[in-house]
Amino acid sequence: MNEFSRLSWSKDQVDALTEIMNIGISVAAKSLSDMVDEEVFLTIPEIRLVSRCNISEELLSQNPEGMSFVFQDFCGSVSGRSALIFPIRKSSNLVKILLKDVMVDEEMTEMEQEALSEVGNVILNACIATIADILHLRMEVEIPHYIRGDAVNVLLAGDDILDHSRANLFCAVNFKTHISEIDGYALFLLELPSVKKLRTSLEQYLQKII
Amino acid sequence: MIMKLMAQKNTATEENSFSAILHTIFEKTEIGGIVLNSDRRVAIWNQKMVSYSGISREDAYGEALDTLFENTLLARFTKAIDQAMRKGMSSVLTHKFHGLVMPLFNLNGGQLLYTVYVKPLNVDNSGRWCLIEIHDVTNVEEREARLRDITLERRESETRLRLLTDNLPAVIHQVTISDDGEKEASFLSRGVEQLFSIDYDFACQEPDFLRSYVVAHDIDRFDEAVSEAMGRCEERDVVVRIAVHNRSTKWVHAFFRARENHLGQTILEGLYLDVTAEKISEGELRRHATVDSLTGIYNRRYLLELSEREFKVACRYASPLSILVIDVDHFKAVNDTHGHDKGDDVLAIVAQTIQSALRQSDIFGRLGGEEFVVTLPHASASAAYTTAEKLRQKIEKTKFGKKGLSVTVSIGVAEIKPSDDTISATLKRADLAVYEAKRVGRNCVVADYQIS
Repeated sequence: MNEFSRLSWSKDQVDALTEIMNIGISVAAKSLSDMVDEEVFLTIPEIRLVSRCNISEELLSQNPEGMSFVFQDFCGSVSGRSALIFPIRKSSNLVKILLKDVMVDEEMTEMEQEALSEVGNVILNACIATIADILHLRMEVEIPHYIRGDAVNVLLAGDDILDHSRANLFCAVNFKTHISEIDGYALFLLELPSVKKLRTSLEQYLQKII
Repeated sequence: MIMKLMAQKNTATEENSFSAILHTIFEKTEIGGIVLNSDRRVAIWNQKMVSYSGISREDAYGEALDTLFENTLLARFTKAIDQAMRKGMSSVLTHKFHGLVMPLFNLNGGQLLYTVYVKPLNVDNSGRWCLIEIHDVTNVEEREARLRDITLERRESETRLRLLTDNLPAVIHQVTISDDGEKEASFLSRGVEQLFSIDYDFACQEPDFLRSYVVAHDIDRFDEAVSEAMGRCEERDVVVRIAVHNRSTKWVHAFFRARENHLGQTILEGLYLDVTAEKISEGELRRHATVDSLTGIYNRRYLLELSEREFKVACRYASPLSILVIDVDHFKAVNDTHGHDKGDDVLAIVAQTIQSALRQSDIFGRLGGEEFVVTLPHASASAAYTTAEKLRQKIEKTKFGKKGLSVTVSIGVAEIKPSDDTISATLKRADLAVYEAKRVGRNCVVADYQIS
C-alpha cells in the first residue's frame, strides 16, 4: 500500500479501482466462457500499485524460467501498456485447456501463441473497456502481441509510449482461473501523468456515486 | 512515414497520385482487407476479399457485413467491430477458437483458415472507422502441423534409440570438443552403470571418465588410440583394463572415431564393450589347447612341443635328458571288466599319482590311450631308470575305487643320443623299451640300453 499512499490515493479510490477491475474481469470471464463453451471463472484476489522496478524483480523471482506476455498498448486520455503475464508453463496449460488440445507443450507454435494472444486480448480489452466506460475515458487500443522472456525486457520493448526516465507505475491485478493452478497478472503500466489522470477520474466517479 | 508523406503534399495532383498508390497497395497486399465507415458500411473491399468471399467489390460497397454474409457472422466478431467503433479497442480472433468468423474460402474451394484483426481507424472529422484484416494461416497451420509431426516422430525415434542404446551390452559415448578445448559429454548411454558399475551422473559430467579408471599399465595405449583417432579422423580401437570401485578389473574394448560436426567442433565418439568374459574364455581356450581333458595333464601336442624344446636346450648345453614312456598294463581288460568310466578313473588316478611323484621341472603328459610320457631334463638314463622304478612301485601300491582295484605299469626308459635329430628318435627308443617290458612280463622298467 506504500505506493498508493505515496501518490496520495485514498482507500476509497483503491476500492473503486478494484471494483472496476472486478467488473472488467467478470466481463472477460463471460467472453472466455462463450469462446470455449464452458464456464470460466476469473477472480481478483489482489490489486496493487507498484513501481516498475519492484514488479520486474517480483516477476523474475517468481518465474525464473521466464514468462509469457500478451501486451497491448493504449493511448488517449490515459496512455500506457497493458500486459497479461503467465509463467511459461502455465500459459501453455491454459492454451491446452482452452483449446482442449493435448498436443500443446511448452514450445508453443505460432498458432497457439496467437490463440493465447486472443485470450489476453479478451481479458485486457474487457478491463480497459470497463475502465473507459465507467470513468468516461477515451482510449485507442492496439492489437495484442505475444512475447516470451523476462519482465524488464518485454514490458519496455519497442517502447515509444513508455519512458525509462519517468516514474512508471503498474497497477497489478493478480487473478486466478478456476482451472487448477493457473493464475497470472494483468498489469497496467502507466506514465505518471496518466496515473494522476486515472486518480482524478476515480475521484470524480466517487463523488458522483456517493 | 505515411503521415510525413501526406504532410508534404502540395498539389491536388500529388494527393490524387498518392491515394492511388495507397489504393494499389491495399489491392495488392496478401491480406484480406475490409474498411467499414462510421455507419458500418463497406467502404473498401480489396481483391483478396473478393477471392476469399466470392463477393464482388461492386456488390460489397455500401453494404453492411451482416447483409453480405446473411447474418452468419460470429457474435464475437460483431462485438469486436462494435468495440472498435465505439471504444477504439483492437481485437484478434483466431480460428483456433472460432473456426468460422465469416464464411471464407481458399482458392481450392476449401475452408479458409484465418486470423482476423479488428482495428479502430480514426478518420478526420468523419467519426471512427474500422479496419478488418484477414490473415490466411492455412500454410502456417499446415507447416506447424507438419513440424509437430516431425517433432513427435523424432521424439519417438529418440525414445526408441535411447531404449536400444541403454539396453545394449555396450556403452555409447559422445564427447563434443569445442575450439578452446572444452570437452562436454553430449551423449552417454545408461550401459555405463550396468556394465562398468560407474555412476551415470558422474560419467555425464566427466568427459574423460573412462580414462580415469584405466589401469596405469594400459594408460599409454589408451591415450595413443584416442589421439590417433582424433588426429587421423579414422577408427581406432584398443583393449584396456579398467579398475572400478569394487576393485575388480574389467577388460574394455574401446572403439574411437572422431569427426567434425556442422559447427566445426570435434566430436569424439566412443563405443565401449565389456570383453572381460571373452578374455576369461580366451584363457580357458589356451588351457584347453594344452591340457588333456581327462587327466588334467599336458596333452600330446603340448607334451611333444615342450619336450622338443627341452631336447634342443639339452643338445645345446650338452646336458643329459631322458624320456619315460609309461603304459598301463592290461588296460583293455580294465575297460572291458569295469566299464569305460572306471577305465577313465584309472587313467586319471595314474596321472595324478605320477604327477605327485615328479619334480617341478619334469614334463608330464598323455601321449594317447593309456600311454604317458615323462621328459626328465638333466637326467641320465640311470637316474631316469631310478625314477621310473619309483613310479612303477608307487602305482603298484595304489588302490583304485571301493573295490580296491589295482593296476600296474610298464615303463620304457631312453636317454638322448648325439645321433638323435629330434625328440621323436629318443621317444621311439623308449617306446621299444616299453614293448620289451611288456614282452618280459609287464610291471617292470626296461631301459633301451638293456635291449640287445
